[in-house]
Amino acid sequence: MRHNLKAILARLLVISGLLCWGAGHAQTHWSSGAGLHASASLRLAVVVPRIVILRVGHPGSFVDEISWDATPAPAITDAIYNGSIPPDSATLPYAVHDTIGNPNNGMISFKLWSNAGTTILRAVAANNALVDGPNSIPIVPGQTITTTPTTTNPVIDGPAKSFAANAQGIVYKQSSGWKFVYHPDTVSPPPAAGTYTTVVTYTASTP
Amino acid sequence: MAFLLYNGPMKRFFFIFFAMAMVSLPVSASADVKTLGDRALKLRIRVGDNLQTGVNSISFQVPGLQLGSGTPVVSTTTLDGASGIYKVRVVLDNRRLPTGTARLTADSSTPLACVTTSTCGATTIPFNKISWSVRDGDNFELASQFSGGAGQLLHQQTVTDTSPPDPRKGWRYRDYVQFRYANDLFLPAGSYRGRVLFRADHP
Repeated sequence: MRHNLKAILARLLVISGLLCWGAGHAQTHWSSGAGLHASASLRLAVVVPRIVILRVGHPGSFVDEISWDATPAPAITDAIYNGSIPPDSATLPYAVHDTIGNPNNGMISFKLWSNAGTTILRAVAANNALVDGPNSIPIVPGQTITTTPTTTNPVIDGPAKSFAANAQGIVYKQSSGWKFVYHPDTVSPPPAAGTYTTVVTYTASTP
Repeated sequence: MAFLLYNGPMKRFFFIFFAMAMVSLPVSASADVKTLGDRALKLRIRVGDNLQTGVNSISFQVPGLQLGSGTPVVSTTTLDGASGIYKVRVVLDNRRLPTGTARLTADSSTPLACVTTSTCGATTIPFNKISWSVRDGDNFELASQFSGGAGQLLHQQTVTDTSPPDPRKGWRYRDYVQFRYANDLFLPAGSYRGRVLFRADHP
């Protein structure tokens, strides 16, 4: 009896052990049915700031200069003058150059980028005039100095120019050359001899 | 079975013993191997922190003066478990699986969408603008940028009976990832968000 009991107990232990092992094995073969899978997610965000980039003239920190030289050629001397009379009823689109010595016929490059919707551009001249000491040449918007192309170049001291954005809110405008023309015929009375200067500041902004 | 036919004084003991053995069986058999956090877990993918409190987020702050320049923008979001410049930890745990090949794939088919619609409307950023580098090459090593599609293979491992794992940890494929945004688009201002789903499969 005791012998049988030991034998049966041993069998029981073996059988129960096999059953336990079988259960564990089934678990490791869990994928025999549907397969194992696990998932996880990651959120990513890109934050884009509102920006407006405006460049007038050469890249970098230059402040380009354009000038008109109204000195007739040949220069007026105390000899008998045989040259042409300094123009007073015509524009002076010539003799224009920038400060770094690259004559470009008054052409100033322009670029405007914005990612913030409709952008406006304004041009304001210091003192609203060309100044030489106590003397000045008032700038009458659209008369004293004209600007082209009118599609991109705002009138100095005139109304702001509006640039519509595309469907995505982007404004990208550029021009290979803004041109500026001085109209001495509109200046009355004629200014005294001298060098008249001003600085035009362009400001781009979004509403 | 022979012991069931035994009809002696130890019958009660045997039945109790056998009953205990039978009761113990379902404990392991019923474990949900898919449940995150379960010690019995067989396959697990973690992307981000170790807190398991939800989906982690990382962001790319584009400098205004570099917008659209093509200079990549690195995410500076630091999640729990980061390693230096590698801000996101990814871990694939594969415990005691039979032979076969496990695969880790990404679904980035839904692009990042504008969430500040007043400024960026319906503009989207495709996920193929997001790339990464890994610290060790132990995970995410099979690609270096999202495809913008589903089922992109990032990692795979073949398990054999001759390569038994650590019985406690199984096979662990861990790495640390630095994500970058390509920044080659002149985008409308705003915030764009998207979600990538990573999936590990062991067929």
